[in-house]
Amino acid sequence: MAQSIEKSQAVDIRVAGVTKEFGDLAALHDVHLDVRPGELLALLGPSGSGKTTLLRTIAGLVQADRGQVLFGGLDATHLPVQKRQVGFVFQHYALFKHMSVADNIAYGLQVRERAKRPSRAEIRRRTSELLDLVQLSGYENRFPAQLSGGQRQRVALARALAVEPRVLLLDEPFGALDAKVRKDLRAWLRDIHERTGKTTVFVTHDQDEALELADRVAVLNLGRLEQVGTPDEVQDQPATPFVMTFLGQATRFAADIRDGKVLVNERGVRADARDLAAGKASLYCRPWHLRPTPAGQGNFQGIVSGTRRLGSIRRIEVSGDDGTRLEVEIPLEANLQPGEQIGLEILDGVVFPDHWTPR
Amino acid sequence: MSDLSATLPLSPPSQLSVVTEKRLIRQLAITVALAFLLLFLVLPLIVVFVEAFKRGLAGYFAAFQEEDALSAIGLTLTVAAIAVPLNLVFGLTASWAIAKFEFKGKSLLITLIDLPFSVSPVVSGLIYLLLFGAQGLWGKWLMAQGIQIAFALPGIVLATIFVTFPFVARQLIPLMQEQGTAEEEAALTLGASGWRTFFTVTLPNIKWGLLYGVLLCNARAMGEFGAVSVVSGHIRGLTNTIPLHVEILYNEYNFVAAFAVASLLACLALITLALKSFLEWRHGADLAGGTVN
Repeated sequence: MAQSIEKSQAVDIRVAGVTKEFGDLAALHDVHLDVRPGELLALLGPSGSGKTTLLRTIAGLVQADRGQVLFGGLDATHLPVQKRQVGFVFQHYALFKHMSVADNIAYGLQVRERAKRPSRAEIRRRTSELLDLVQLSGYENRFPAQLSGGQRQRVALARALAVEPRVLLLDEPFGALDAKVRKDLRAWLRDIHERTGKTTVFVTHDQDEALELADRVAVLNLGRLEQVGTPDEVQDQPATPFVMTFLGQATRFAADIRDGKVLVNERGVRADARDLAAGKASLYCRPWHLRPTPAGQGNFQGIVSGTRRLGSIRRIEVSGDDGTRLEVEIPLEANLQPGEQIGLEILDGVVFPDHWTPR
Repeated sequence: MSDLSATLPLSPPSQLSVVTEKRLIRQLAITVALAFLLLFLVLPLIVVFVEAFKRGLAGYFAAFQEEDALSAIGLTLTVAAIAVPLNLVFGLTASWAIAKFEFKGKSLLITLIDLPFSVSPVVSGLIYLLLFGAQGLWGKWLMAQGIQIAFALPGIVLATIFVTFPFVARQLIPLMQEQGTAEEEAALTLGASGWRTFFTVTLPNIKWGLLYGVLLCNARAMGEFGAVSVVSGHIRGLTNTIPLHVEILYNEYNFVAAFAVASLLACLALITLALKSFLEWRHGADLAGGTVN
């Protein structure tokens, strides 16, 4: 790889107490976030959670009402977007439709003031190098309209990388692509990230994408940061009920905490009570935290109302006697038929006290 | 079932019948439309040229030898040369502001831009007279400064600008709204200045729409009668534009000259129409704001 695409010194990003008030949902409330140098971080949340607003605030496309944004320890809060040296990839690519692929990629170099602008030959060399990196050599003279969605996305990334940004910011990079292309591009983005070593933040509403791709995941909800952690941490030790339910199928059981033990329907559960005070609580369980037992045993009674085969496991739907519906994962060989009366034993789960308020 | 179907009329479902209208009705509609076009648009146009050439080529060109005619043509060109570029800038700025920014009073601005379309040109001409005329609001002060606006070129230009203001803005606002701000934001993140972004990203995206708007604006600027008629004062050889000159010639029963000069405007209309059709045919998607991305 040539020099310009070689690993550069990665910088960290610090978001300190950023607040942005809008009339609508996509506001931010006192968000603190540290992105480590060279890290690939996902901003994950449902629509309206403020994840795109946070990304745009880091880029300088949105001005925060309060708080700071720092790159490598330097305050960038009042730097205009042009001076922040961020590579931004837009959700719908935002390629310049009247320019060829090569001109799109070269744009950031062409608009530099004369003293800082590389020579024509140098620009051409860099452009072809980047085309090579995004596997689009030979597409120089195509126009955006002549490219597929995945190709446009790659041109957008090459264009963002051309200016040697300090950090790379991607807004729903795969949002507009079909499932197959998404999967291919994920692996490819991971690869590019490893090769360039740039601190990268990407926004997504797809938890699989975030968990598969990112070093760490920041989960946002209603403009607040709920948790930041590695994929393992956010999945195994969710900090809030929202993180628990957003990251996968979860069933809530009303539970009681007594003497440091978790009880569901007066039967003990092995889940960690985490030094919670005695009282009412909620127990959240993944499908694999539940095990079918003969009727009358376990914490929960119900009727099998449906079964589905998912690869190497079977997922059954259980209608509880109390009217709830929940899903349980069982081995393929377990033979449970719809209509069967069963019990469920809760093997594990995450407990949150009721009237939970996020920090 | 059998007795039910017997009562149903034997016609295709109602959604289909909309497009499979009876042939007779279809042909009738087309004939009526074509007859109207012929009678009210094509025929008058032919009459203009027939009347203009009634005394042959010599008679036709004699109309343009006259000094007053030449000065009218000159004045019309001057007015268009000032009003159209100004409206280009105004229209561009207004649509930029409306399409790319959120601000209070935006919908009021959009309504105001359309005002010249809903106000009679004669009324708008009168407004300028009331403001700038000798008896008008600012007339005395302007007179004292030696500035003449009413019954002079500035008044005619002002009235023309007012009447033709919506053309460029009307064309660009939907186009720019449709295109959104993503490309501009991309240019900014790549380090381009605001001006640079405008000239390298925004302008190329709207150039055909802009040209279209300018074309219509120019046609109207040259052909405007009502507003200009009020503010110009009809001073021969001084404040008469082509449309006013045509009227004067006609009122003097100088039909051949009147139609000859009118044929200039007719030609302008035909050229505008041709260019307009060409733009629509060649760059239709760019005019309607069709997104390629």
